Amino acid sequence: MPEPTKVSPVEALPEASREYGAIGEVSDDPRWGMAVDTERCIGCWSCAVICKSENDVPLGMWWNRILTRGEELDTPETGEFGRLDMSWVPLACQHCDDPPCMKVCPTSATFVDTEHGYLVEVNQDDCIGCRYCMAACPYGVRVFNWGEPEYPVEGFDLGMVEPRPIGSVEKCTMCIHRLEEEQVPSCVWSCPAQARIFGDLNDPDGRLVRTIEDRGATQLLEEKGTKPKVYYLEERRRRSL
Amino acid sequence: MPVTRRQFLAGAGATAGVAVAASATVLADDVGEEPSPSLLVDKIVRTTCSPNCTGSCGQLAFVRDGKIVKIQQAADYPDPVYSPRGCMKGLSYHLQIYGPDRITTPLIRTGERGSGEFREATWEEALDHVASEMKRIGETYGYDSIHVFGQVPGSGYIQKGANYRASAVLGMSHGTSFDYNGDLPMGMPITFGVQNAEHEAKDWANSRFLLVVGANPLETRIPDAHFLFDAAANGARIVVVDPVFSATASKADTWIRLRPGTDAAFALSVANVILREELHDEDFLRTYTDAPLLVNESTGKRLREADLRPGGSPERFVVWDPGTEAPVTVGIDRLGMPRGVEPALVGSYEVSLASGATVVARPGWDHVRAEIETWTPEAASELTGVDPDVIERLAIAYASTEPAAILMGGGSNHWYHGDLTGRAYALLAVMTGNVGRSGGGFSVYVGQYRVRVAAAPWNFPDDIHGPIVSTIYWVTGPTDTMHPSVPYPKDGFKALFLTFSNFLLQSPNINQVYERLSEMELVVDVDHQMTETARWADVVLPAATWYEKWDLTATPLHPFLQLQQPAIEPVGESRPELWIWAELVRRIDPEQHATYFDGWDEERAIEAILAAGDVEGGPTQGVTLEQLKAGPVRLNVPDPDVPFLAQVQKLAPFPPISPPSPIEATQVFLPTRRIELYKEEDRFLELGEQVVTFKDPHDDGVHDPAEYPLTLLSPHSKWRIHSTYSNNAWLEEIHGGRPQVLLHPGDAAARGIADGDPIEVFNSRGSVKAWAHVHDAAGPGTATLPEGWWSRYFLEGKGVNELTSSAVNPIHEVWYVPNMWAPSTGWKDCRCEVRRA
Amino acid sequence: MSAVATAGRTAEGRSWAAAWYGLLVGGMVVGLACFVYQWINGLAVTGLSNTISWGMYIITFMFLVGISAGGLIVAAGAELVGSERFASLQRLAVLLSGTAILAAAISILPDLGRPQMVWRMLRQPHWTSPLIWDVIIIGVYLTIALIDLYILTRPNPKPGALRTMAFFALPAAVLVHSITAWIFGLLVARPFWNTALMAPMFVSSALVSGLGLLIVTAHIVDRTTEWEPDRDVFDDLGRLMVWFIAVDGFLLFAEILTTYASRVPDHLKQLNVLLIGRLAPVFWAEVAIGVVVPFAICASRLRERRGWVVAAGALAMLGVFAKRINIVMTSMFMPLVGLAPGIPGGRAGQEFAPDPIYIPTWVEAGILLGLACFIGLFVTLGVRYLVVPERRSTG
Repeated sequence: MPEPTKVSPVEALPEASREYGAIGEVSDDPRWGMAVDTERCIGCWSCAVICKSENDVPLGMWWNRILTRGEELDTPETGEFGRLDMSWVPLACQHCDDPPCMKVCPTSATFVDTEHGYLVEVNQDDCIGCRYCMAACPYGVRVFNWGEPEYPVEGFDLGMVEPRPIGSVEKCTMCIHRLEEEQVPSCVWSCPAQARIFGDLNDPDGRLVRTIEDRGATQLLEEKGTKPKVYYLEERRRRSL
Repeated sequence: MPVTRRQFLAGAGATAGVAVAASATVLADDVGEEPSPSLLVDKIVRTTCSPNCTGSCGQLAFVRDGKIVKIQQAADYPDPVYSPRGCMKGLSYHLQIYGPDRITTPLIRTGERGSGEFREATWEEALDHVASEMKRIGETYGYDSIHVFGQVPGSGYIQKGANYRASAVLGMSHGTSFDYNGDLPMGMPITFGVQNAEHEAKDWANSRFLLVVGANPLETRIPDAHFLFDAAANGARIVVVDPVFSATASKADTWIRLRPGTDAAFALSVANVILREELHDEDFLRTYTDAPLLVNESTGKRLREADLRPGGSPERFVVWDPGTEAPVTVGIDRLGMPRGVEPALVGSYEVSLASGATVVARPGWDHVRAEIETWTPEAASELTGVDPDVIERLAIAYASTEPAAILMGGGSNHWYHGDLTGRAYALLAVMTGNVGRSGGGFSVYVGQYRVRVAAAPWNFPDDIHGPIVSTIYWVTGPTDTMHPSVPYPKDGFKALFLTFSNFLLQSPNINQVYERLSEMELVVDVDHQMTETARWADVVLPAATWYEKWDLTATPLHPFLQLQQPAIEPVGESRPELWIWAELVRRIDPEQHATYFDGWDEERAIEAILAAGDVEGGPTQGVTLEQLKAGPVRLNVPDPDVPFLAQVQKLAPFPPISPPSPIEATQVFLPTRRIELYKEEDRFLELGEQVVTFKDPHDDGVHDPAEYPLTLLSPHSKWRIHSTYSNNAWLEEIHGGRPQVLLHPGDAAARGIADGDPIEVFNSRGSVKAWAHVHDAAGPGTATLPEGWWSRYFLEGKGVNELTSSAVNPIHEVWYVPNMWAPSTGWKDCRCEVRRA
Repeated sequence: MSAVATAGRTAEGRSWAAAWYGLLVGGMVVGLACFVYQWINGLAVTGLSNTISWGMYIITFMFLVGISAGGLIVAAGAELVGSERFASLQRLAVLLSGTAILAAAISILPDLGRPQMVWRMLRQPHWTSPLIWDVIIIGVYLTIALIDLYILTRPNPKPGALRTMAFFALPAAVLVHSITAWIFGLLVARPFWNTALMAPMFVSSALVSGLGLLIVTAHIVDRTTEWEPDRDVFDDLGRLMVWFIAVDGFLLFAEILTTYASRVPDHLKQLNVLLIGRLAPVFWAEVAIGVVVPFAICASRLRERRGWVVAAGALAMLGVFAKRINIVMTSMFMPLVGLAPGIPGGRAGQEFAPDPIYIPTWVEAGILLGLACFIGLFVTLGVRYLVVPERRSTG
């Protein structure tokens, strides 16, 4: 049998699906950012799981994970007035405008990609595996290739990007390979609660910026001065009976 | 401004001398490097994920070199609010397809049952073996002694329909899953005469008040959970009633902690306040329900026209017209009241009968009212543990907000008296007129049950109906109260044929199930994972997953019909059920094979189903296979899909049809053809359930609450669809792979149990050892162990269903229409005790 | 090092020497083998994980940098204050410093995931990274040590040369320490590290550990060779130790008090790991054996007996090692975003661990053993060929 002709996973998308994932209108100089709606996040980890598939993230590693406020997974904490409360913080690379990881990288393997939306990216070829960036990242979102990648069974095949070499550090790329094809990152696509909004922070009239302004948002560890490009939309106010 | 690599290097070069500048030059070359593009794929196939959940989510399978390398939602729904659907389980299904537990060849048992010792066999050999055994058993005891059980027909009309088809043509008894799974909300057929009838999920967003009871959509309806937030964004208030602080409770405006199993008392106390505040809708009660129909005080039966005058119809009922102070009769072919009559809802009236006697009669509502009035918030509070003040405020808010919806889940339904609970919540919806209107309703979301297409020509070709026996009777044997029309085989069951069912883990009271298993001369399991059930089978046949075969699916949660289309070749030797059945039928009865299986492939079967429904007003009117291949197609249903529209808007009699049963089968549930708040059948009268009331949980009578003080709750877990995904490596990484029993700190301390301790959960039926999770989230007096964990994850024991009950409620046997009026399992009606292991 | 004493003199001495060298070379072979094994299989063979991503290698690196700078400060200080007694220790001190800084540079290699790519630091150094500056200062510092050693081992050292060198050596010593401190101290992500006291504390700890090493080594070399330091120098070293420990202890106290009293949540959370948490045993051991006991010895009359001073030196060194463990681990145990379920371990079967642990493996032990043997061999050879001959030539 002849080898089937291979195609780009974006070109091969059914039309309705491609339209669903289209980034849409952006400014001339997009600065990619994201808003995560903590009101809508249900802690299901769909975004984290699709990230594994999309980016060929082996067992034991997650680029994206859903933290539960408090100390136990999916377990409430007792709030100020003794009420139980539970909410989630989806966490991946915050793509800081002033990234501490980039500053400490001795080889510039981590850099801010000014040509592609100002994302913080890692050039694995240059990574010497010193893990300084992991120590420097306040968010703990970087993972290291400690050994050969591991999968549930041998020959398990995954992903839309090349695997990274042993001994190098990796993290969320904001699916830059998809952005190049004008498709939203996979976590944004796959959030069943539609809790993620992707867009251009340089477009004040875009949906992303408008939503951040309308709803009010915080950045994680804002006080550390890292200027994250990921915003967390606040939960709605509860109304007692 | 961000510091970029290039800018920084420019600065560094200027200050750090020649060497630095040189190195910067080297580096500057890299900066313009384009990010690597996506790796290429062979193709993308649009299919539908449908394990035993109600999601029915369109998925794209990304195939490279003949393997699925990514599964992602298709997100192609014509109604964009439904995109993307899908959850982390569906997105990691390739771990099931290629995982270490995948069954890839037919297996024939060599050791003892349950030893897990098998030899690999060819299909030829395995099929010959199974067919000859089935033939022997069929010819010795009758084919109805072979019980065929497949989970959730709605998740695949063709492959799972093949079970029905083969059962029909061979005369095997087909089991039931909707009632066996405890998902049949018996309050629905009792009150509305339907199997179930829920609003499509997007209609939640149209509600202004959502009362969520015993349901945890954030974990168990992940694709639809966001409609709650849409509702909140539209101004709705969300109240969650649950013994445990659930994920859904965390998103609610108010969470009400309820003592488990006391829903009916809770709902009745809400009704009490509504009634007291006169917030109920009397017009609605008169028009659509049996509330005004007079009940003979001495017999407990409704008065008929035939009672009033000779030659009167037994199908016309009687109301009291206070205007004329005389009885008036009403028919059953249309709702509403005769013009100008505003019948009495309360009071007691003397009616002269044709016999000359005079009887006292009261409207049905007067009976309901009397019951409601006993349930003051204070009285109910002692049972429910809910502050009377909270009930007051809730009742007023619910009854004065329009439209208001009640969403009920398995937590409230999975009880022996789940029917009473259902009737109680239905009462709230009915008395406030929240029926048949968008944003309102009483919807029970448990189970992927509904046959939304005209499946009969496929399932029951030429109208051949094989015996259908509710599977609970396979477990319990015939009960004393069993309806005489249940076709229980004369010599009992001799063989069990399972498809896509982890029957030996996910049945109630599994120790009883194992006993029954020893009576089976043949156990065949068709599945794709080496489950506990497969380990106990005599023959295991490897099944194709829904990424490897064709099928047609729909769900109650959304109105789209979708295909499953094969993305890859079946892994190993696995095959679709239709192929397996065709091969077996060919070996058992070549003639039937020639007529009903030969030449039938999935596409032909789908076309037959579509064609049967392609009639004026039919479910698949105008739907073609070509359309389905391109993506989801909306069924021919109202938008939004709201039940009872014809009844409420056009006064058509209840009940609407519950496919695939003919209307005649379910009409008998409602002799008045109205919403029935009063039941007059003998057994209801005998058991004192003619109107809704509260009864103590059944297991309180089996296990002395003093000895077994805790209620064992076994809710669905968000990490699994029942037992599917229990062995998913990615999900295991997240949740840690340790079954935990959630206990309240007070209960734990009283037993010397600390968080993380190994503990034993036990009652008279069985025991299981797991780890304690001690937290305030637990309701006092409850132990919560989510169902579905495979046995191997426990410290000891088969699983939580060692403890659950298979008790059958005789009310569920008043009629017998499989999956519609049949015994519904009460998983949560289960007492236990825990101790340190 | 007893072999050195009699090397070449007697048959017994020769066999002792052979055994000693054999041990050291054998240890180095083991270390090298472990390093190769780790290189092939990745750092998965260590006890490290994504949460505790730095471990014994970095701790050892910090410790070695510390003991090196301390040694040189003593040597340079002797020159600057013109102490006769200290002068007798100069060669040994410089030898120790040079060896330690060389070993420190080597100790970084096994911590790298891709040591084969380390040249990229030179091809494309990123100047905001303290790591680059540390590589440079370590290079400079090693060079100074080599020059000093060269000057000291000339038959007739120029009197002014060392003094001139000291003007470079002292700032370099302060810098090598400070920059190593700033590798940690400049990170906003780690509140426990992110303190202005980080560099001063590193310098003071370095003085303590460097002095401790010098005391212990001088004693051993004195006992096992014909080399003899000035008889009263141990008393002087003990006096010096009092001040060093006092300053080091004071800085530690100041740092902890500030955090503890101001109760900034993230910072306090990390501090509590030390005070009452998982690292408390190591921390309180550090305080006891690294501060209280050696201070008590050196500040009291016990100092007059050499054995006590040597014990104090050894304890102080151990205490600083414990401090290095504490510094690295405290921040690692408590990531800033410490919500459940935590940071993924990094390998199959490693659950998310909100409460991670780190247990070094035999591979790490093997590599560090190799490094220790390397230091031993280097020092032995240095003592044999550079330090002992000094005695002969001057004696």
